[in-house]
Formats: sequence, structure tokens, C-alpha cells
Amino acid sequence: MATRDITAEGGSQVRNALLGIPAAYRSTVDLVRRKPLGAVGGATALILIFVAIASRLAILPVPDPYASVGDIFLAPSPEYPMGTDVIGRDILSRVLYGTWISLYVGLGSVLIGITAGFVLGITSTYAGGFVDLAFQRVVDALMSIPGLILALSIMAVLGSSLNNVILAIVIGMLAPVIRTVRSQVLTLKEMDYVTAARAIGARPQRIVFRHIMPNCLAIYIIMATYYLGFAIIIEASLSFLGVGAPPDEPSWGGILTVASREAPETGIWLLVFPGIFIFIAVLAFNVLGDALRDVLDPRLRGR
Amino acid sequence: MYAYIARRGLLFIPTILLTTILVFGLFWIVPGDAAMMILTGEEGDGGKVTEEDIKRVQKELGLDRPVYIQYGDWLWKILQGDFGDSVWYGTPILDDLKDRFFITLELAMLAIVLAFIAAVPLGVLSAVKQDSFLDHISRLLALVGIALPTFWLGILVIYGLTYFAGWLPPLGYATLWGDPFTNLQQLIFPALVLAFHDMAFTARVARSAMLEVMREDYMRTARSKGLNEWMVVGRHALKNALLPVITVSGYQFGRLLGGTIIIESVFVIPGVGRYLIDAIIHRDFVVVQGVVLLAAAVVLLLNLVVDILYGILDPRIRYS
Repeated sequence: MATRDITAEGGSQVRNALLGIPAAYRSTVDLVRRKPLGAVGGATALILIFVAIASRLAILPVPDPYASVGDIFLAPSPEYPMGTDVIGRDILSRVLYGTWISLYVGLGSVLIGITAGFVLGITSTYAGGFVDLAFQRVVDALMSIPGLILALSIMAVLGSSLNNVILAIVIGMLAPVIRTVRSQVLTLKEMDYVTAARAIGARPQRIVFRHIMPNCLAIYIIMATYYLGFAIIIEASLSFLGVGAPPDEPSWGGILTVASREAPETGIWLLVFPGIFIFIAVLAFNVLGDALRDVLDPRLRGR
Repeated sequence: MYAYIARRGLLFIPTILLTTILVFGLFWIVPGDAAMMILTGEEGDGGKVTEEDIKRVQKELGLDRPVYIQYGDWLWKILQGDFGDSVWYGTPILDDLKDRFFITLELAMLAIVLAFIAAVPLGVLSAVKQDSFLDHISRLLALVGIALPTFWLGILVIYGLTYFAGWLPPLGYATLWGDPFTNLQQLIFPALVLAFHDMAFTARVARSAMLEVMREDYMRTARSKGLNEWMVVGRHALKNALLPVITVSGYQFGRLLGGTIIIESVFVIPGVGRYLIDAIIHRDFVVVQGVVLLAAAVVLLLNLVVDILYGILDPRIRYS
């Protein structure tokens, strides 16, 4: 699709220049040219991932996020660009470390949740008949419990830890993911090439692996990007309510719990930075998701 | 028509039954023992809990019986309107929930109405003037609304009200019928915060529904008859586009309930959300179980109503 678009514009020079370059690079260039906003989202996402890894490896030039380094509630200054918190920890360093928590939970729950949703969705839809009917009723039931309420009660049962947050988010997103995959598979099942494959005697496994799954790849990537934003918000919400990340961990939501109590006395800067990071992270992944959807799956464009 | 309603209604029964099994199962597989958790919750540490204490609490909660009997007993009582007693407060859950339920419902309804009032004109205008400046602004607004965490927006609103206006919504809670003015003062800001988030979704749906309808043949017919553009958009397009918008709003209600719970926490509103979060902190699983089931039942009932309404309004649905 990338090359078709370029030739359509008559840019044979551009095309020749791009042909020698690996496909991944070419499609990146394509994304930047056609969806500048999405590309900004993608770049922001890459920066966030870099910050997350750097903070995990503790190679960022910031103080220890767990240790008190100065007086409490210092306003932003060159030494502490975002100020200090209730026990004198550097907020900048806590917010940067929070990137790791958000992305660890986000990527973890998205990889597990979307993959599990795809496996379950494709299997049950392709099995059809009673299995599908029964399974869809379970999905109905699961879907009736609002996501945040489901995640909250799972956290109540499991107790607060990062991996439990991942599990809670996975269960919360499973039902809608299965639903979307199902509708995609139902469409694909009726495609002429699937009928053709069946006509020449291909076994169901072959059809699923050769025809259904490759065609679900685009929607997998799109959903993963969207749900990453969703997962980051749910993690922040759970941590804000005190049932997500353990209280000492520098999660963005957790930082805001204390900040929301203290800010009226001390100043708005306590509130601003963690919130902006949540906002930017979610926005970046959503915008990237929009762009990927338009580029990877033209049928959904403008929806 | 009746056949459609009956078919849709019959589907409701297995789904709600499965939901009760899910909700019951969720708390039955609590790692460790529910009794132990309740005891350590009270005492603060596990050291002082004796074997006798555990036996006593287990018997109190009926946890010493086989699981299917526990489930059957639980379900039977719920069908009679008995959600059990709160372990922490010792009061019947349904009594605690009665007033709180209406507070949450009022907040959610207010938010839906506000979101709808803002989202429909926004979505319609951006579809009619596709790719115009207005369209870009409204799409940007939708992106922001979805990405902005509601609880953060809520905190900022409270901060803004105290700091810049020197005003805070009156504490406590006034009922709608007792003191409507105070009631509105308390609920309007949380409702606006929720509505902003909800508006983002609804405007997106309204825009794409309008775009779809505008491509229909009858739109061209209406225009070629010489009707003016407002007539065409208002009478022909909007009427048809509104249906999916209302449906999606109905299905979005679950998401809104989740948002309500967190926003009640931020604005200290004594609704179901505060009750649920207090129960979670106290590990009061009987309450959590009851509230989760209630939320699911409300969502399922609403979906049923939306589906039936859809069937009444759009005959194509009935025969598919």
C-alpha cells in the first residue's frame, strides 16, 4: 500500500529512492508524510519508552525517587524543576520513574490482554455453533461489569502490586477485545479467498493460520495502541484510589493522591506535572492509534 | 415486534445468571481465606488470629458449606432483595445503598444530559463542515476529552474553585427534592467533569453517524427537491443519525458508572462509588460483591431497554 500511494502521486524519484530502503523504514517515512500528527504521537511514545527504560536502568541524571533529598514542598526551582513532595522527594525524578510503572503496566497488560483476547476470540468464533454461542454469553456477562469497577474489585481481592494491576486490567479489557476480534473474524470467514481455501480442502487450522490471523494483524496493532492508553488511565486511576501500585512506588496516579490533599495549601505545581504526563502519554498512544488505523486499515478510515 | 422483545428478553436471563456466577466466583477464589482476610483487616496483623476466630467467622459467613450451596443461598436471598449485611458496618447493604444509589444515578444522568447537549451539535457541525477549521477543533476536543484523566480534571477543578473563586461546593449532601439549589451546586461540577469525558466519545460517534447518513441517497433526493440545507440536515440527516448516537450512549453507561465512582471520590460525594471504595479499603467483600452485581444489573437492564427501543424505532433490527 505504501508504494501504491507514492506512485499515485507520480513521485517516481521518491519511489526509487525509497525502494532500496528496508520496508519498516519506508513505512515510517510514509507515516510521517501522510499523518504528521500520528508521527508526533509515535515520536512521543518512543521518547516515553526511552525514559522508562533509562529510569529502570537508573541512568537518568536525577536523584533517587525513593529518598528525601531536600525540604518538603519546595516550589519548582533550577535544582528541583518540579519541586519536592510531602517528604522532600524530588518530584521530577518520581514522575520520570513513574513512566516506567505506567509503561510496564500498560505494555504488559496490552500484550497479555490483546493476545489472550485474540486467541479466545478467533478460536470460539471459528469453532462456531454451541461453543461460540455459550462463550458469547460469558463475554456478555463479563462485559456487563463496568471496566473500572471490575478492575477495582479484582484489586480488592488480590491486594496492591504492579503485576496484580496488570491482571486486573487484562480481565477488564478481555470482553471488548473478544467482541471486536469476533466481528473481524466473522467478516473474514465470509471472504472469497477463505471459501476458496475451504473448497480446495484446506483444514481449519491452515485457514486460521494462513488466512485469518495474518488479516487480523492490522487490527491487533491498532487495538494494542488504543488499549495502551486505556491501560495507562486505569492504572493511574487505581493507584490514585490507593489500590493500584503500592503507595511508596512513584506511580503517576499515586503521586496525585497525596498531591490532591496538599495542593490547596502548598501550590498547584504539586498537581500539574504527574497529570500532564498521564495526559501526554495517553494522547500520544491514541493519536498514534488513529494514524495507524488510517494507514493500516483504510476500510475504517474516518470512523 | 413482540417476538423480538421476547427473544431479546429471553437472552437477558442466562446473561444475568452468568453474571451472578462470575461475581460470586470472583470473591470465592479469594487467595487465602475470606474469613482470615476479614479478621486480619480488623486486627491489623495475622498474629493474633486464632483457629477459633476463623471457624467463628466462617460459620457467620456460611463459608463452611459446599460452594454450590453458598451460591444458591446467596442468589436466593438476592432475588428476595437481601444483599446481606456489611461486615464492616454491620448494617444491611440495601439500606446503605438506597440513598447512595439515587445520588450516583442523578450524577450519571446529569452528566449524560450535559454531554449530549454539547456532543450532538459538535458532532453534527463537524460532519456537515467536514475538514473545516471547526471540524479540526472539535476532533481535537474529542482527543483531549478522551486522554484527560477525569480524576485529574476533577482535582484541577476543585483547586481552581478554591484558589481562584474562593468557593467550594457545600459539604454533606442535599437531596434533589429537599434542597434543589444546594443539590445542584454539589453535583454540577462533578457532572461537568464527567460530561467532558463522555462528550468526547459521543461527539465522535455523532460525527461518524452523520457522515454515514449524509452519503445516503435520500439526502441527495431531499437536496434536489430544493429543500434548504438546514431542513435537509435537521429533518433528514439528524433524525436518522441520532439513533446510533443514543444507542452508543446507552452502551457507554458502564464506562460512565466507572467514571462516576472515581469522581465521587474526588468531590467527596456520598454515592455508591464512595461506598464501594470504602468497602474495598476495609476488605468488606460482601459489600463489594453486592455493589458489583448491582452495577452489572443496571448496565444489563439499560442495554435491554436500549435494544428494545432500537427495535421499536428501527424495524430493520427486528427482522435480522
